[in-house]
Amino acid sequence: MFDLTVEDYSLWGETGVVLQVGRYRIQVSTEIPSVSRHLSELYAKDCFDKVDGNIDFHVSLKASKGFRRWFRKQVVFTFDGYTPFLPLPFNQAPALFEWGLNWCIANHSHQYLVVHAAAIEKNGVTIIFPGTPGSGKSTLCASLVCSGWRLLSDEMALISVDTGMVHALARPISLKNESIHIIKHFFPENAMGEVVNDTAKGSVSHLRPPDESVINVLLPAKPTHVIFPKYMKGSETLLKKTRKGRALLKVAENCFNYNVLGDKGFELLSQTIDRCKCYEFNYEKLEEALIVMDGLD
Amino acid sequence: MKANSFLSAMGSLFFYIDGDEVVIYSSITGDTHLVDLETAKVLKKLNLDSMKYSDFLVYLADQHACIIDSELESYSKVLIEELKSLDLIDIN
Repeated sequence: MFDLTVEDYSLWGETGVVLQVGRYRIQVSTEIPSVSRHLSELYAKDCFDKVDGNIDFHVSLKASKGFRRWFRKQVVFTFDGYTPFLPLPFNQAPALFEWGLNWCIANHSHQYLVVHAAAIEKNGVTIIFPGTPGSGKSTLCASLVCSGWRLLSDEMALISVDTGMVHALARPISLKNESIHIIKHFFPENAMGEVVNDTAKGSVSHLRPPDESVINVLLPAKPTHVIFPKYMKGSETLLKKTRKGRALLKVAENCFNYNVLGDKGFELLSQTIDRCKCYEFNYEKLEEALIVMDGLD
Repeated sequence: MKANSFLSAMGSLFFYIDGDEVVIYSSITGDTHLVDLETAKVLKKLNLDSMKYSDFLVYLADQHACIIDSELESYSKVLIEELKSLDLIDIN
């Protein structure tokens, strides 16, 4: 975290601050203190210092106009002057920034196959965790990166169409509901943003990624494992091989731009699945889950 | 089904073979399907060559090492209907 003054916040609103996230540069304009605080607390200083090249996304978060300035205040996200979402309650501004950035990346990154998945790496083992909401992928991903794995991405695995490598984003990890308490309990020393309640996804908070992940964000990783996690109360920790054809089908269902890439997307996904070991993973106890993941080769 | 009805794959099909299961991607619909190996072989054939229904029956009989009879005809119709419902083949 680095210090911000009130003057800094207002400057962000006038000219915007430029944020480097992986290979993307985002100009953020906002006068909303909770968003500025979110950025300064959950993004490493490197993200602000090592900005180089043209801006990819111009985004702003502003309080809505009209009578909504006084009554049930709202926040509006805009991208290059376009408003892709309906306004949200004002207290959800930091979460809206992250969701808006997800939208920007997912819709403007066709040099990648964009998979709705977490991705992590350690000692040459790179795991892609595709997952539907509630599967426990973010909880597992957060636990692993708090235990020495490198965060590539919590929300979107970016597989390069040219090389098949996974490119990193190393953005804050979005945690919801019960997983907020679980991660706070197991990893109290890791910085988390404020908890925003009553969003469409329930309570939401973000975990700051480890600095090492941000420092190494430009290092791509070769995918070696595709694992479909499933958090189940009362479940034994069970890693079970799954058929590659079925894995391919499931990953395809979790892609944002599979149809945009067409047959290129299918061939890239086929090659990725072919070179990876594919598993289903049921777990309840995080300690056991971490041991299983550390044992992968 | 008329003997001179023409069967062809819808657009271009792409295949990923996993033992006795095959994932098929259709360039026309953008959909991905999981089918058994036998069905995939039929689609692969139709992806390369369009053929008359009468020739298709000959091809199926050859694949299954059997004669063309009412049982094979029923099977062919079920298969064609299923593939048509998935927008994987076209009948003219």
